[in-house]
Amino acid sequence: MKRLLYIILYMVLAASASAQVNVTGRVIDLQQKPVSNVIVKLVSGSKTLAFTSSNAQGVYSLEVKNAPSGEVTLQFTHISYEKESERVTLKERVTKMDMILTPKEVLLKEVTVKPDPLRQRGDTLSHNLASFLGKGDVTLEDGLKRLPGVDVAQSGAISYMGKPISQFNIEGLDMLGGKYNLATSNIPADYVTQVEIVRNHHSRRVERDVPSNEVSMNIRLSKKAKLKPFGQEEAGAGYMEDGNDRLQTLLGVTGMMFTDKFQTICSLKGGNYKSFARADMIDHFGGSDVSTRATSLFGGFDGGAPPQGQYLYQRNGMATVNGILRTDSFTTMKVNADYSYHRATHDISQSTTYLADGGKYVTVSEQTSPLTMIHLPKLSVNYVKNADRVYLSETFVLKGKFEQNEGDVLANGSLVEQRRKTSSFEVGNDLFWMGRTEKGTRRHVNASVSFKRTPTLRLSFVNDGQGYGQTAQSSTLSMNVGSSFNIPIGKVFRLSLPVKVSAMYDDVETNRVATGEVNDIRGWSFMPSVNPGFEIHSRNRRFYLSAGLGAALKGLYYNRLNYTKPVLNPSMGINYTFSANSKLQFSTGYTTQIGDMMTLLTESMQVDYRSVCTSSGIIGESNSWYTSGDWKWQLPMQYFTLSLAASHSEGKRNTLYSQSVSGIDISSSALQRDTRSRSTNFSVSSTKNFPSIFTKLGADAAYGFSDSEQAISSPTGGGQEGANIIKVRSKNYNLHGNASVTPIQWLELRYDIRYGWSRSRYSEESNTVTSLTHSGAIHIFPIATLDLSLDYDHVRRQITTDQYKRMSLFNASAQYKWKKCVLRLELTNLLNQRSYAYTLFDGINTYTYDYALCGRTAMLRLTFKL
Amino acid sequence: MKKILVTMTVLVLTIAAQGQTETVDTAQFVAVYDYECRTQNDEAASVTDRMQVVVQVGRTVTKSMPRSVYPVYDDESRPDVAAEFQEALMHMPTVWMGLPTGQTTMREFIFPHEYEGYEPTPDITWTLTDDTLTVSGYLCQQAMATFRGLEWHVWYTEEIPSSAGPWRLRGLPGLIVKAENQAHTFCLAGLRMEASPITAPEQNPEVHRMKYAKLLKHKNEIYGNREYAKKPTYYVPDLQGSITDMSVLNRNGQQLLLANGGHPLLTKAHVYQPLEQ
Repeated sequence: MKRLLYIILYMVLAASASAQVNVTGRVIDLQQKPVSNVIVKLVSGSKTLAFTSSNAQGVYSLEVKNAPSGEVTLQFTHISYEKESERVTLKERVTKMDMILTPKEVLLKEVTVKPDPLRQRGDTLSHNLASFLGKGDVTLEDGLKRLPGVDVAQSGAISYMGKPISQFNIEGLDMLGGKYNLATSNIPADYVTQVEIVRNHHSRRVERDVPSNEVSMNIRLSKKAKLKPFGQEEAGAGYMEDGNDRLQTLLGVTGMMFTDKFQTICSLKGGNYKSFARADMIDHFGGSDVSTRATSLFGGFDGGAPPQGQYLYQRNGMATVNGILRTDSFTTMKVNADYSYHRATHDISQSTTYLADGGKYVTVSEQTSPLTMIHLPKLSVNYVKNADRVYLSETFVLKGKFEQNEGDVLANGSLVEQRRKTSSFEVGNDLFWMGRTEKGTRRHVNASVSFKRTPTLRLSFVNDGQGYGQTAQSSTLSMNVGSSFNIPIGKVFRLSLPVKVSAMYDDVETNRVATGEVNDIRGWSFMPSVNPGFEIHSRNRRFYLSAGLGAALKGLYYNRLNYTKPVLNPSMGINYTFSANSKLQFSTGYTTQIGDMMTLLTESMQVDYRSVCTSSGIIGESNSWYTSGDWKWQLPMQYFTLSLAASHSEGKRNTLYSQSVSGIDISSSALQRDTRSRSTNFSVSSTKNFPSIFTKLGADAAYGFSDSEQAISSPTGGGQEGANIIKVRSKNYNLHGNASVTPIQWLELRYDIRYGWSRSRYSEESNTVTSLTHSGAIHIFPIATLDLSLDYDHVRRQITTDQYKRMSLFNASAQYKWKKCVLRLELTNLLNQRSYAYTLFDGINTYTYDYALCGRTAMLRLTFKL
Repeated sequence: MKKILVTMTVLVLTIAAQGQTETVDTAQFVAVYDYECRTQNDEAASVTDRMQVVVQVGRTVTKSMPRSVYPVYDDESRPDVAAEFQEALMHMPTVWMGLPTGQTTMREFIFPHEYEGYEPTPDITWTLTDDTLTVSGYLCQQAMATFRGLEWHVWYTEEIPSSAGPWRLRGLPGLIVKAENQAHTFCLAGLRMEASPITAPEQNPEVHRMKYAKLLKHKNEIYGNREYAKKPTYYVPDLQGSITDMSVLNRNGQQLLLANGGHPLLTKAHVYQPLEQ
């Protein structure tokens, strides 16, 4: 039986083997060269039995199962050769058939089946705000936060892919400049139809073909927003468990109108909840309050700020009127008028330990509640003509700053009264012109002039019934004229030649009331500068080199001293990409900085109730050489990046800072002595992504060491010879790790840990301080209209060698949107942590701060559209 | 001084000489395909993405590429930048079949890196059917095959004796005129005689080279993740550090972000429909 089965199986296999035939061969052309991609097809009648195509050697091989017994046709077709066919009978198990093809002219029935579909489309790409807007979003800022790549900082500053925006437009008009918080926090999100983020090469039409990395943002509004004025009203009430103002309130009303030719935003806000009104007045493009020589010499008593936590009791209010008129398609006229008021106070205990003459330590304990009141009025008028061949901008600004400070101190048990009062104003004009010729050459000239004045600054102190004080006044007239040429040479080189001339007239007077010491310095300073430079940028972007000479001439012509010195500040930067995995950046430079009249104030000045400072009397000069490099390595298949960075700088100054301590009084001065400093830093950072478990991890570490010099002078005098020079060496390292997880789509978890260690050494002394911070955040958005978030920080900071302080900060918020209203509950400092303490070493001095934090606060806010 | 000048000149010439491409074949004809992908957007609404794929068919090398990659010499036929974004949504690689001999090479940009994969040219086992259909004016026969997990229904025409096709589809006794499966459709939109040069992948040391199987696994892992459509750069460990240069264009009211030498950077994407698994 078994044998029979074997026989049957053998017969079946033999039969099937006889039916399987291989047809092979080689296809060549008339020059005997192999022809590839020839379609070789075996056909029986109209049926295709098998097909293949020839390889690069012209060889083909066909396998035919169940080959028919009769004649079949072997066809050879190729688009560039005449079709050939051969009739064969598949008798052999392997049939060989070579073929010679004759070239032909390629003729194709060219077809265009339909118009370009790329131009018909439009259904899939619509990156407008509406698609990003969540149902819980209230203001434009809420909407912007959802835009991928857009980051809105706590201050309201917008950046796109890490670059801060340089212009904020509404319907193409720049009404607010850097104060765009006014728009982002007050324009309702659902009135915005589109956010355009554009590269800023069109801001000046004359530069339309100049590439730029600057990013600007333009907001497009819905038709209903452009038909009539609209607004937003905001009101809130809350309660702070402990603190100066237990009842917390806020109230704001904002009205606005946007037509094609005219736009306006007017707002009035006030409250004592955080910086509610003041936040709208932040200028993200760097516009600052009035700062004069006198106000920077004699600052207030604000007492600094803790790294975390709400600590300020504030009352702030603001009123603003902004309008822009488009007179024709090239020209706009803009007026911005603002007024803001800010009153802030907080409580702080501070302990400072000074190294005094003879190696003794002096510790001063102070308790204070500094109070600052500031009024800031500002008016600015701007005219812009932005045509194809010419750009002209003319801006006039008038602003003032009226400050009052109180900083009564309980110092080592005795109460000292401190008062400061000052008023300053600034008036300025800025003109910018840029022209473009028919050939495309551009030139620009800018000229600015400003005048700043503090007519009176008065400091008064009362200690133990004894009064003393300080007065100051300053005026500064500054003028800048600049021009530049930028010439590309081919695609690799670019030459640049910026030229600038700065001139400044200063008049500073200080008068120390107790001693009658008076400084009176006035005169001119000039600084013409030219910075010829070039850039080389390889076409494949692997190599980039930039270098500049930075030549300038510093001329100082004061009533007490004349001084002229040429300086060079050469710099160079190189970027090189070894491969996609490995990139290197390197920069180096040498800078020389020349001081000004501020170092000629040789008569002593009372800065606060116990600090007196004196300048060296010579023009300060510091030279420094810096170099830095970083290397980035990445493994994209492993979702991993690693960066290593190192930097080193060495500096030399012709003066040395010196302090002397007498009782609790501190005198600082500058000795005429060369001093050197060095600083070296290393850092490493790494990120790793685990997409399959929706987790991102990051870690970084930094290590640095530096050395510098400081002098301690005897309070009884002795001058430079009597000073004790102390070398201070410091080291520090920081470790940081973070993880973020999105386990389900409506839940985000984040955890962050930081550890810091720093040590300061001088003489035989060594001080070390550490800090450890854990931060966690949970963000839950179970339904589109409800948004819940919780964040928690636990901080452990070293206060003294064996004393540590632990602090916990816990905040929560919930927001619900219903029709035109939004209800938001904010809970701040839920654990009622009332103190934030830490210690810092600054050279030979040790500072321990203990800030009183605001108590547990609940605030309910209601926002609705008008 | 002379030495410095000579060194500078050599440096500049070296820099300028970089970034060249090599011609490896000349096209006998160029086929343009409409490519459609049926998928969902980030909010799960159905969308159909469309782009064009250009195939240069040479004697030894066939190159299939997104239309924006194919060089054009007149502004009118230059694809709009929005089309490049559309292509970026659809993840269509550039494929060289027969380069090097017997091999297939492909290039693809997966932000922020460009990758090159290589493998022996895969054989597709086609089953010919008796069905015929006239597509785009050509009489076509039907063939079917399962290629890397997807079942393809293809119509080819023997009127054009070329075994070429769009993307990696090839190996039939006539040019592929239409190919489709559940999510994807390629359809011949134009055919023209054009003896254009077929260029090899640009020599670029920044490109990550690897076996294609490894690259395909990486690609499917990234685009197949549930986070992808909502946050197309979710997988980049250090996004800001990965952006070397950036420009944002406003094209007909659409915000288009180009980064790292003009590559489209998506801010929202569509659910990934793989062409092969």
